Amino acid sequence: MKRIILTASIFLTAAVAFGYYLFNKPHGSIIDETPIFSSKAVGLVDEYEADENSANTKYLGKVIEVEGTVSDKSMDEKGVLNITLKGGDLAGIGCQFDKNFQTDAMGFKNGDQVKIKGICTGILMDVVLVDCVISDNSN
Amino acid sequence: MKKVLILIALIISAANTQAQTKFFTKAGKITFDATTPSSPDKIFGSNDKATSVIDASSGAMEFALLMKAFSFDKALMQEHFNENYVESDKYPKAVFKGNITNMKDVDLKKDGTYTVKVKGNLTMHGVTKEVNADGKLTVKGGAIVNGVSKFNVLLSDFNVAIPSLVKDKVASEAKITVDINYDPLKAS
Repeated sequence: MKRIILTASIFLTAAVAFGYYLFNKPHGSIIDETPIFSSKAVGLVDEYEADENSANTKYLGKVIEVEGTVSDKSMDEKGVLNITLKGGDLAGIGCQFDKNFQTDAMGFKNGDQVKIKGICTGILMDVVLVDCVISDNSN
Repeated sequence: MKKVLILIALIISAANTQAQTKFFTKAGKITFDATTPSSPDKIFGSNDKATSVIDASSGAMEFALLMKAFSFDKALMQEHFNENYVESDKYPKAVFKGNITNMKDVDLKKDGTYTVKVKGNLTMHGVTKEVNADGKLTVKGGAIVNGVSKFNVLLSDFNVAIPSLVKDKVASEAKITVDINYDPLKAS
């Protein structure tokens, strides 16, 4: 009987601790995640402009990798790096970096060919990726 | 020759400042706060990738944002926000289209901060509702450089249901803040 209570209380403690851990888990990084899809920036923009709904079904909320040419670079007031990759005539891909992993990307210059992965959140004027990191070339 | 060049440069710069009535951004900041005194944590998300356009000649303005671009400190809160509350897979965007009703009070030739009234329709979670808000526009050097506003939205107006279990922990009325730096829209 004692053993059952002991076991039960250990499990209960573990469950509560796990719940507490989940509840407080910080907004994580995608650095170790494998993108579900890899594309040229131009191709992704084309796909979004052709059919936004079907593109959203495929990519919304998912980690994707894009390769393209840097057309704009800026830093916002919170110190977060934003890089725009060239897409079509108007739309591009706006990549908002993960502040903890942006140091290497700060050296990017307009015209550079780069590979970035991030979480796809849809399209406004640009296709927007958030929590971006430089994509490992070995992927 | 030099004189001609200077003249051309002057004409071009004059034309530029004259024609500039549209201002836009792709990096507007919008925050969402549904914290109540009994919330165990701040229910606060921010979105730094909103787009917005103001046409100073008519006072028309709009902004749009992607729900999934809202970032919360806690992963689970962000997940709940997206999956249980705003259902961002089904409704990925929020869009506001409206007018600055007292645009005539804003003098683009005079630097300063102007109080404005904004009226328009906010579409979120598949529902469109009229929203009225007060805001402030900052004018500098003949251009609108910043717009800020604060308003509240009743979540039930947008069919965002709060489960009864957490009724006192999630505010029924969310506080929205908008803080947007504008750039002149280049006619290229």
